[in-house]
Amino acid sequence: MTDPLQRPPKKDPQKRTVLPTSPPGARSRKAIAFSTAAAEGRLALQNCAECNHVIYPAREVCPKCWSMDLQWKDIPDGGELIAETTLRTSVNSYFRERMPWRIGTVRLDAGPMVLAHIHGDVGEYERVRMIARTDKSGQGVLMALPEKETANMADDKQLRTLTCDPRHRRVLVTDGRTQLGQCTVNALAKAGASKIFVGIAREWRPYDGSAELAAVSGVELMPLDITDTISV
Amino acid sequence: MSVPYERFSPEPAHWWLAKALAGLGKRAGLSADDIDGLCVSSFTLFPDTAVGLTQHFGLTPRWLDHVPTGGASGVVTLRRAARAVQAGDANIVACIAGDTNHVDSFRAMLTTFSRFSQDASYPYGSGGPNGSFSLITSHHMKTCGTRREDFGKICVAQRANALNYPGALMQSPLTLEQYMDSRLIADPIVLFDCVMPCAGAEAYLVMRENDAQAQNLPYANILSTIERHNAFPDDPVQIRGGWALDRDEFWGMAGIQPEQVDMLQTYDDYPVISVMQMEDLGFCEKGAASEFIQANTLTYDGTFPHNTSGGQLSVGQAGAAGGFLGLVEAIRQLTGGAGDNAVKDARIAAVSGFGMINFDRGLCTGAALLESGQQ
Repeated sequence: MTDPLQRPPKKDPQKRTVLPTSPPGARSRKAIAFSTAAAEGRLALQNCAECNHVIYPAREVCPKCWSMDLQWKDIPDGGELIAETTLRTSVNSYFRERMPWRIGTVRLDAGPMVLAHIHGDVGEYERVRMIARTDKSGQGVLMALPEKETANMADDKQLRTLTCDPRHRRVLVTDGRTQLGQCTVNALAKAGASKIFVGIAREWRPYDGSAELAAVSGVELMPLDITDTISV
Repeated sequence: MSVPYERFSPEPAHWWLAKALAGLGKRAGLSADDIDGLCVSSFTLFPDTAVGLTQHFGLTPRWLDHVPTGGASGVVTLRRAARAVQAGDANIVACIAGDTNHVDSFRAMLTTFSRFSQDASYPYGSGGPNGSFSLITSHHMKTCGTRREDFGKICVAQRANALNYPGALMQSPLTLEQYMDSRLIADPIVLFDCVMPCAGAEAYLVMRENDAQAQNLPYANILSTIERHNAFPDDPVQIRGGWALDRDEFWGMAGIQPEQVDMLQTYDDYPVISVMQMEDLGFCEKGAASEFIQANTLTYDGTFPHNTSGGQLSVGQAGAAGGFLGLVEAIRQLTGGAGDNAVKDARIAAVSGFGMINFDRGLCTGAALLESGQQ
């Protein structure tokens, strides 16, 4: 059961702002292709062009037939959770700040065994749906989600580090004068953004939709002209 | 030769290895001129390898090896050195393993451990071996019926052994209750399942039996050895190691049965791996380890002496020296060098190695059977 996300407590303004940390971002050259696909929301692994073996982690050569012809292809996203654990401590600051953290071994339907982040609603030996997303280091990582959507699934603490879910977050929309900007603001408000800063350049000039924009819940208009370095 | 471990050390790995080599030389009455073979195992020697140590230590060997097999390095270096001597490539080989430990050493090692762990393991929580072995432990418990009480019994017995081994870093007693109540590290692994990284070094010599006798050096003979890497790659989660593949050859070559072994030194990065070695080497059936452990006492004076100096869990893990710990302890026990933790009438020792969790499983395995030499 994923607890619905609560609005985060207000930060004490007298306390020092904690510097952002990052999960490990080093990858081998071949592994970066996995990240590229993950940035597009695609789950892709190397496939041997000669024997069709699906390969993970990324390699230089097929471990079955030694072919060097390995092609990145999207793979089916089904799998089974074989083993799981909850980490209580980590040598990495990013994860240490976010304990406890669930990881597990998944046998992909495509073949390989992978280590992945595990959604809180997935139990051992259950079927899972895998996603590849970029984490805060910008590199691709695997996560196992419940096969079927569960209540408040998007609010899972670990999943939220891989998505850009606006819920309870503060967002800046740089240009509220345009139709695109206003649509974006409305969509963000609908998605539960707690505050939406909207930049308006040359605010003395009237523009369509200004009244409706100011009325959207959570909106705070501010003068901003991104073509003007002084304004920025 | 075991150099007493320290939790943290400002000295580099070279210092620790030098202390081991010098100690070895002093004990055996040998100097640099006498040693014509060198075998090194270390994680923190960068930017050097065994090559740099030849000049640094004043050696001119005609046989040289650098062995990166982690916890299997004891057995693997033994095999390499023994073949070199057997083939006449060297007469006296010094095998040394050692590592330093600075405050950030462990984290630094994890970030650069292997390509696969960088790409596919470390980004997932950075739990290191604790994360990987918790999965293996959980899987073994579900598949083979091992219980926390069984792992706890191993840890408690090793601690009792360590209290009689002055070199151990852990010197306070451990009870099963304390083990069962200790804090979770990565479910189901708890604090007392984890070794303590530290600085230290271990070393031993390999030579012909005649030469050992001629120089009045206490020695042990090799009855058999095995080695295997990346065994059973298609097992979904590691449930067995390479020993299971070569077990028959291991006992056949030595011409003995498991019952004739007086002590077992396993590589104990986590208790589950010690259990796996007991199963895969044939001391008990796979799936019957829980009964085996409960039916025996595992202290140095028990029915099945195991990790008689305390193992890494109680002595500490000095990097690659952890791979030598069991082997050096076995040699010590078989040559009358053990103190309060001496196994009575010890004649045959089994030593097992395991190491290098490249991604999700330990790749390197090895084992050796040693018999005390006739003086």
